[in-house]
Amino acid sequence: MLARRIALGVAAWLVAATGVVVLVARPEDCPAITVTEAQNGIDAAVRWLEVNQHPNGGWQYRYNRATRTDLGGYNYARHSGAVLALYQAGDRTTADRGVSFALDRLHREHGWAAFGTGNSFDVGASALLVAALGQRRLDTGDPKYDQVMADLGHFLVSMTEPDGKVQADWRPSTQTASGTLAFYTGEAWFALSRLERLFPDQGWREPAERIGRYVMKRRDDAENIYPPTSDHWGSYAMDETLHWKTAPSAELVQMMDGYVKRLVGIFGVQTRFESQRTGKGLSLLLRGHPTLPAGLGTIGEGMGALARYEGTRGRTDEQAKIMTRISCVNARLLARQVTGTGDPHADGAWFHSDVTQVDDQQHPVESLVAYVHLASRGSNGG
Amino acid sequence: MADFNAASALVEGLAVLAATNPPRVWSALPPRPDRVPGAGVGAAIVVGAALVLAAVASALLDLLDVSASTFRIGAGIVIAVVGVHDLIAGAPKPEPALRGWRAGLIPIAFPLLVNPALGAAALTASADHGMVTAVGAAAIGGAALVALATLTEPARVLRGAGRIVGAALVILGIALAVDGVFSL
Repeated sequence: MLARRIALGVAAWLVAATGVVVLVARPEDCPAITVTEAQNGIDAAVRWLEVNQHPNGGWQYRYNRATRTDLGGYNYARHSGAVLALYQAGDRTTADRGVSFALDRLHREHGWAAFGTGNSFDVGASALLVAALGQRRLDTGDPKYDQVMADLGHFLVSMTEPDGKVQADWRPSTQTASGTLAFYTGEAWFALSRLERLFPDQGWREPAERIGRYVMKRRDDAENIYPPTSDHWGSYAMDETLHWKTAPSAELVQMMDGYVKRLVGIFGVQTRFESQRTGKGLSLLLRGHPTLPAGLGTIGEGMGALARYEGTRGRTDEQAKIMTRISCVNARLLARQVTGTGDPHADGAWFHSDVTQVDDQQHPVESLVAYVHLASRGSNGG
Repeated sequence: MADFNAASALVEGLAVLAATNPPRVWSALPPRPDRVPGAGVGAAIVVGAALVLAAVASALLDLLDVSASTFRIGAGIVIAVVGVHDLIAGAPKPEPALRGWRAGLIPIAFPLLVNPALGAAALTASADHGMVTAVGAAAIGGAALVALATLTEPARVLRGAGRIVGAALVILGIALAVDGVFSL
């Protein structure tokens, strides 16, 4: 009987330990990377964006490397995102060609401009174009696109409801705005926050704050979003807000601190979960396939913005903790980047099931750039 | 990755303390005159076990390539499951046991005090906050058991208290698991 009591105790330990190690606390594969390796990854991806850019400034949107097939399709929000990534990476020539593509497709009415064609103009394409042109303005001081940014900004403001909700699409034929998309809302918040940073006291602050408060307090509930939004664009917006000429109110900063903490947790668990994925064996059964490269990149760039935020707030210990996770994301990105195949549509790109899309380069580049800036500058990363 | 703050140190310390569940273990203490010595042996061993677990926590997690926040999820689940057991299972009996004060070894120290919840809580508390939280909380639990060993009544109240501590373990375990999910 005593032996049985001991055996039951040992069995309880074995079951608990095995359950934790096998089912929950899977090994996290986060190899160390260097700034040089990250920069090489950026350079290779930027080359992909150069090589795969059409003469009109657009990109080969989707490609299957197994069949060597251009899968067609296009998405203007992702076009603007690629331009933003290129400006972040410092390739202004390729990015400027992407801007020309967008400027050829501006729709103007009511005194504003929206990037797109056809019967529907989405907020995301215009918002990210503002963010991209704003990056160019920050880096060069060149006022060439100031008026375009303002025109696009007025479109974003016109799509913003009094409570801060951002309508996703504008239909000129019916003069109606409709729908919501979590990422578009964050993109509009980012764009208007960047406009306020660049052009203070020109009316961008109020709508930027309005969207920000809506996102931080109500967005997920109001738009029935679950699980909570992995809000990389909102992360950029909060980083921008700390650079406003007239500092945000203490109350708004406190609200942002809370949202930053929440997003750090979301990005953190996503990073840990992804780092447990090997794509084979028990890991495949329990954790599934590695995520889309674009998705992984959004985690890295989102944390990059949060790390810059923490650096600007003077919380270098928090920034350092986030940096370890950014490093993990980028190590996994670098491990998946295709090189040396001789296929110009594949080298420098990231694939999922043999398919790459332009945003599979956009977000990883933005993630790697965030890492390089933070790791080499050590604080708020620029 | 240590993520120190007072609230999480308190929760993890309480988890270690609750994992020892002194009012529940009280039911398994041997009769007098071995009652207090047996509790003392159990208390010493649980403190020693916490000390060992605390000392190896970070190295163990590094060996397993597991971050403290991910381990916290697993630890929380184990703690909650043991809590459910303590909540619904009957109080442990003094027999079978080693004779005399050696009952402090079996069953008091093992399997009652040094149980999977104590292991999980001590490891996660130490990985997050260093050794003091885990060892200190285990010492408080051991001391509480020795103090309770001076009592022989009221058994029903103490058994009820053991169930309440079990319920607390469930809550603490869930809190730890959720915190582990939404941590960096």
